[in-house]
Amino acid sequence: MNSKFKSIAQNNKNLHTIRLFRILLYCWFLIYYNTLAFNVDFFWGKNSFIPKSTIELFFGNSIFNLFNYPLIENNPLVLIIALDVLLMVSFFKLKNRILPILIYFVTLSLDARSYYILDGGNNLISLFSVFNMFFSLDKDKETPISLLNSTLSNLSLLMAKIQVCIVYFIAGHSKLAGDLWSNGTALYYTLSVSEVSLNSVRDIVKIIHPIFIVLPAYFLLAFQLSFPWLIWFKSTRKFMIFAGSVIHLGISFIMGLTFFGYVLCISYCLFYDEADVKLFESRMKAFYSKLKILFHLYPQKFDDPISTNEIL
Amino acid sequence: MTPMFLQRWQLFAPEPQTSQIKIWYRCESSSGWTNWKDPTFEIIKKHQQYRLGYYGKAVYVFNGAARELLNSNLDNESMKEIDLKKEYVNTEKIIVSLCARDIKKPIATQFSLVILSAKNFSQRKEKGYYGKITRLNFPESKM
Repeated sequence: MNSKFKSIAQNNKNLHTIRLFRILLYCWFLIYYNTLAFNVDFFWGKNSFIPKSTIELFFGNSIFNLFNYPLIENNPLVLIIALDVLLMVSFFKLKNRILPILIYFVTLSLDARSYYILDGGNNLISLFSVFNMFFSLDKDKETPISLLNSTLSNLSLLMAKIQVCIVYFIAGHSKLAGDLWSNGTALYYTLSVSEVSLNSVRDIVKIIHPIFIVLPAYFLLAFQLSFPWLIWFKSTRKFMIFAGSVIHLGISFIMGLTFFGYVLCISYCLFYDEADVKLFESRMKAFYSKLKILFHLYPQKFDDPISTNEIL
Repeated sequence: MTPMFLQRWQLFAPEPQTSQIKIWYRCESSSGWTNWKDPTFEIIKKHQQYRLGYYGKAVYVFNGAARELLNSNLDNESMKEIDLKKEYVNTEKIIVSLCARDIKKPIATQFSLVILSAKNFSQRKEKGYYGKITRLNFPESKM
């Protein structure tokens, strides 16, 4: 136990994992808010069907509620553009500690105004944004502030992982208590509802053998119940991440809960080993340099042995 | 921790979604009442075609209003003073906006909450998608 505490308070050893997670988190924000921005007035406009009173559930008339300012209230697109700028700057300044705070408050205001459309994915990403404020990408120095930074960062990473595990445990445990999950017919009922299904899938679940409905339901249940334990072991982690990604991409495209599915896929990168992320990064760098050569993004010297080898 | 970090344990579908709540509406013009319409019909169709768009979230907007109204204790007593319920007033505003979009000068509007439940598993091979259909009509509203 003591060694566990020491490891949290020790040097920041998760720089690559945190960096990858932060990039994916910002990509999610960029895709989500810009997709919704195609119908900005419907979700955030002055005449949106979402009543303004719901915003009080979040933070009422506080100065942090950016929709209290007439400029934002009348032109919500300004806030989306501001968020885009913050995110684009963040991609180049990933170490910056102020940008995650600004991004958090902008997204909180946007979510509060569009209260009706939030789902579990939005809630989870909002919690990740809180942890993201405490993540540090600074290299360690022998100073008390650096040690405090590292401790907070490591602690936040651990809490974010535990949060994902709690979500799976509660989801799995509650499902186990429900009749429809216990008897294996839950997927049939969900996939029969047009809002969270496809017409072709609705037709298929009517005619296929029950075993193809019951087995995936039990697999999902087993996955959710075992995730909080098996994700911590290196030998089972890769399988859990693969199975989870397949399940959540399925949820994204078959059930149409696109953004929700992506959130859970992003959350898996919290569990990646630092070494795995480093390997992934070096492969991406090698791939990018190959692309650069292929498309002649930079002039190559003829006597450069690496680039000529790459071309040949 | 509330309200900013409120965690509800029902977030991740402990019980599967077995039904959908819809708002159906109709509008009255000088030439009479229109047919009943489902504002999410076209949106769901588009959502099924384009999974990467905003359509899925647009359905939530109507569902959110419907669910809020349905959860606001709609017993016989409260139905007598339904105009005083903020959930009803909000849904009515939505319907008035939809009618103003559909016909030029609506003189009255009306809406219903419709709960479409999936057919029981044992009856899944029978014709149609839905089993029990529950409909709750709200009074006509003059403009």
